[in-house]
Amino acid sequence: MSGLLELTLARRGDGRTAVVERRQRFPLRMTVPMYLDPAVPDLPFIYVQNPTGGLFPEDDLLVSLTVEREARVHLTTQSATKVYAGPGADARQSTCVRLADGAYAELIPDTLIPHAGARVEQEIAVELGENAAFVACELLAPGRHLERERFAYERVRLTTSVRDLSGAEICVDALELEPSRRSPRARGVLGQHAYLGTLIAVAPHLDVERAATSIDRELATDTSVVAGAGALPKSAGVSVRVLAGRAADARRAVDAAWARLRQELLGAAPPRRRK
Amino acid sequence: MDAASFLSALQLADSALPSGRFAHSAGLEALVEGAGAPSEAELEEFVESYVCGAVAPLDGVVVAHAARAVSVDSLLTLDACIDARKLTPGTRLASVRCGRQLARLTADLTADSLARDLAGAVRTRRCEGHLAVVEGALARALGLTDEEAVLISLRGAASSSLSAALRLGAISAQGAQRLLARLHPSLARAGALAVETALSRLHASAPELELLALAHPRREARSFTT
Repeated sequence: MSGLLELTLARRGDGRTAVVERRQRFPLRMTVPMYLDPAVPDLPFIYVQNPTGGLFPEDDLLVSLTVEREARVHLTTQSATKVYAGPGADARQSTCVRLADGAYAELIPDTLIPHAGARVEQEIAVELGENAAFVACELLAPGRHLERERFAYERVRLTTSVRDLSGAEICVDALELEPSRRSPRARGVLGQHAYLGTLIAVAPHLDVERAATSIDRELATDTSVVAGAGALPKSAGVSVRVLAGRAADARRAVDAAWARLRQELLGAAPPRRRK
Repeated sequence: MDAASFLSALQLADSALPSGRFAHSAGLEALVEGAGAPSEAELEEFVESYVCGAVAPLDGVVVAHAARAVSVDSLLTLDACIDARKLTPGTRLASVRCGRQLARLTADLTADSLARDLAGAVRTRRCEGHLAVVEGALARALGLTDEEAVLISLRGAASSSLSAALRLGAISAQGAQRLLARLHPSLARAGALAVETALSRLHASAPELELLALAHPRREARSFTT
């Protein structure tokens, strides 16, 4: 199935960002934009919905955002994304974001849960205009918790790439786990940890060293995770990696890093999650 | 491989080659100092994850492409490509320092114009000078194939991390050689895969090691640069 959700967001005269154009093709759709953050009242929260319940083999789903000058958006999912096994090509889920001058996007989806036998490629591709900024995170589960699945999936590939308007790469995070080739339990890969969290933030005016250090210090106080932050190439932003034994611990750590960065970039911590 | 190329391969793989590789522990110092010396089996897993999970699918692939490159512009593009994918400061620093050291040696090792032009671009900072790019270009200049270049690079990553483990007291010299020999089949498989891999499929997949490398600069007393 090839689904599409294509949105253009623009800043209106009253300062609020609104969806000004929309195209969609089943199974992707969205909620009405909700303005959930009293501290950042112009920023719409958009929940992407998929009524089929997840990703299936041969699925090729694309969410495409164009965020116009000075506009801002929060994109998330309604719930965790389950990836199902089956014959056929790998499931693909792509999010492409084009940020114009001064625009801002935060991509904060729920956990990706690949079922036993699943094969999935998830890609986030961002094109950054001048003075634009974005934060994106990913949380990867080892499998279905209630079924006690641990790394029974066939292959997961996660890529986040950020380019400038000329097409030059700013940073690319690409990770591929194929348990039959190398167990994620191997020391050095995920080791004794089950959940992997990643956050990447690219922002032109961010004090990268200070942000990375403050995130590091905060995450060091959480003994339920192993986590760290560092400066991206050319000091373009910050990357954060989290390993945890439980989903809630990974989520908490990624959210803590996001909260620090959001405070720097928007002057406000995230509002309470509505899910 | 003729005798001259074989001798060149030995020179590139020699631990005495002053590329600066042995100043970097690939996260092992943080591991050993934080959790104590791992068992030999754990150490083997770490080194294999490092070489086959992080180095081969990124640096290894870039070495192969650099060994096949026919222009300086291609090599500069590869350098920018790998720079964007080394997400942590320690991995970038290690790669660039070693690459720049190796580039300084180029004129002493070959008269090949492409390799020397790359060394010039590194010296004048037209590019960062990542090790994988310099290794690949130099290997080609010395008559080696792309696969030979990749295997030299992967073996170098394995032996430098084992050397770090040795200096940290985590393994004996004999144990390091035993472990290195056990890793040969994995290195060969990883090398063969790297030679066939397109640049669109680059990745580095050793998050636990990445976190150890991120922890390294926070330590007050360090034996290794990264």
